[in-house]
Amino acid sequence: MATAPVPPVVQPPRQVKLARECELRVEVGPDMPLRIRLLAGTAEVYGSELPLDIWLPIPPRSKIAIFTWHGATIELDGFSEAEYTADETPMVSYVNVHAILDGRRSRAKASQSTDGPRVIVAGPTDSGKSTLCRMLLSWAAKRGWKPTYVDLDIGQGSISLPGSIGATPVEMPIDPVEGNPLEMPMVYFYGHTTPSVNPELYKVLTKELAQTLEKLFNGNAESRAAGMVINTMGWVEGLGYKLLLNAIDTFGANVVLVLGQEKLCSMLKDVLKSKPNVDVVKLHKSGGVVQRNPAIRQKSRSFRIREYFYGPLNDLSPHSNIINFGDITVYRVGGGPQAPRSALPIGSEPAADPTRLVAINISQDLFHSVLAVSYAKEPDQIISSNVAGFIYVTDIDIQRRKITYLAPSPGDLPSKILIIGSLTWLEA
Amino acid sequence: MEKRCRLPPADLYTDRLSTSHIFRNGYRVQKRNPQDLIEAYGRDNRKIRRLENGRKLKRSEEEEFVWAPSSGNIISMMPPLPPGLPSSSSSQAEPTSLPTGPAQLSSSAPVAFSDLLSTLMAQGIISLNPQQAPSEDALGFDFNLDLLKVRNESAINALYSELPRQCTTCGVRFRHQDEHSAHMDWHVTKNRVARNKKQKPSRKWYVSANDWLCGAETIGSEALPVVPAVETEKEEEVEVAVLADENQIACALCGELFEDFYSEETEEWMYKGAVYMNGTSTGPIVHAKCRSESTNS
Repeated sequence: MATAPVPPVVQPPRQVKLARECELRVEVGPDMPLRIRLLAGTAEVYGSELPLDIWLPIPPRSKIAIFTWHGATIELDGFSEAEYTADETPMVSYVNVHAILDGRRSRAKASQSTDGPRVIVAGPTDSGKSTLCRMLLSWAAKRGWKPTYVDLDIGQGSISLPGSIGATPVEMPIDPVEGNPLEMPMVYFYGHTTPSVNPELYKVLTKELAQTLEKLFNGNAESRAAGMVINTMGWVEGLGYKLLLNAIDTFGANVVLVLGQEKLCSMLKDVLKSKPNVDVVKLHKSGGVVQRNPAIRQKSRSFRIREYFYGPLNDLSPHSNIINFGDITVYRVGGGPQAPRSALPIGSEPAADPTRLVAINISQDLFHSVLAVSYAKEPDQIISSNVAGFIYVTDIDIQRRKITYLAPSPGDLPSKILIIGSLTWLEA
Repeated sequence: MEKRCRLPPADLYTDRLSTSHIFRNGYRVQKRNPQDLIEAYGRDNRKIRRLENGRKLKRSEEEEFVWAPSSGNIISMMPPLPPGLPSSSSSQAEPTSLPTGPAQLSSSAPVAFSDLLSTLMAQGIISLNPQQAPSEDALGFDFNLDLLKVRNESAINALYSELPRQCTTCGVRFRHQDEHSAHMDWHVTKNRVARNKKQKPSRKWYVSANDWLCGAETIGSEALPVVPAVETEKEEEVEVAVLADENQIACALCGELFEDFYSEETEEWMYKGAVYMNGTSTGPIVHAKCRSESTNS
């Protein structure tokens, strides 16, 4: 039962007492600062415990939930758009899922031959998938495991930018403030924020990522026992559902957690009946999950890109650079000019090779594009190579044949092979 | 037997109820803090009643002694001591043969019996293993939708009381002192790096898949294989130093004493020109020049 949100008029420093298993939910505005600290008891933010008596700044626009297993007193200082206490949360079932996974990790470690849990989290958009992933990872890391976080959600991108998929080992509980685990990401660039643009490419990249992870697990028993937590797209109908099944198969998932949708859960149970070693578990979504409309989702994508260059707390400094047209080649995967249906023999479908590579002419069209820097040595390795990161095109000088771009760090680009998708950004 | 097989590995639970235990007059005395007590007993009325009736609740400022019987079967251990004393393995695997409660026990366990037990234990004839945590609420390996909804103290203790050492800076918990120390070293290094930076840091390029695979093998060590910016490498070579360590006053390779100095930047005593031999922030400290000599040869 949630109490009514406090109107954000005058907000002096305030203390909130939380009974056990209650949660304080806070939504921070875009430019008003807020900080919190734990005064007594124990409390955690998405599985990461808060230190006692230390002020933590909460980044603008974030929505956090401070949960307590034992009861806690929290102090807030600053402004929030909403803050309220909830006493009904699905946390007990979430932590119990963790406990079972923990047991399975120990079992895998002892046996040396079986795989640890490969957990895939599925559910519609705004069901709290990435938050659940974060909790499961933080609890596992707290217990000393080093699980691998895999993010297949090209819509938002919690490891890297929207339009990319990736994996990162998680060796410490995820920072309650900074949020995303970025210790050492390995990232593949798809280039679009919806899989329908090029589902084949999405599958190819997913498979590449899975194969690299398989190599990791073959060489590293610790990582194998700790297993994976895989976040998926919120699109669970039609093609989205097919891609979800594809991901379950490609990553050899043995636990499928379904958030907040009966239909999806029963469909998955049905289709996975033939695989007795795959558990499909239905979980409730948290009442704290905020629904986002398409405009907000677009905005949050834009902030992710900003975060990549400037850091979540504006704590990173990107570098601007100029390069000649001739020093780089920009490829588009798939796309390419397709013959219009009218030009084809009757009955035949336009069949562009979804993984065909096209070197594009550098033109004003690149303005405001976000390009990936590929580790491919040759163009034909592009779809099997991960990326070193991203640049943002800030100017094109056609006369002087020069491109001005923003890169995350100074120095030369790690590679001359760049990939373009449909990802753009307007630096605000 | 089936239930036993489904129990989580013993080491997950061993320290749950046995953070500390001593014996008084044959009873097991668990030294518990009140919070643990609530955790362990809060939901089970039967247990609460037992505590309330357990006349000898004794309180000190920080801890509470709970009088609880020392093992499932004190009575069965009465002399003559049977050859088949509950072995450590069987008592550990026994899910919960919780005893019948102090009230009953005290009436059937007169002082003489307690004395006998203490004597036997003092002489090392019998020993009681740390009591295994009750695992009636353990979830095992399978997802049971009904069990998932019920608060399970062992799952929560595994994330709190079983990890008693907590970093006061960031809240991360550890089971062992050495993990905690390594973590504190990490904070020191991180702060030092942050302080030495003259400008905001930049996000590094991600590593290639091959480097990632090599790097993932070594995560956990402090040397994260990020692609280092060339100039910072040079900076580090100019002036290397590590935190002074009283236990290591001489180079592990050449045996010469380190030169120490007080660093204004780190506000710590440091060893000049010294590095950790294995590149992490633990282990033997050596002169940087000795290390490069030894790797070159």
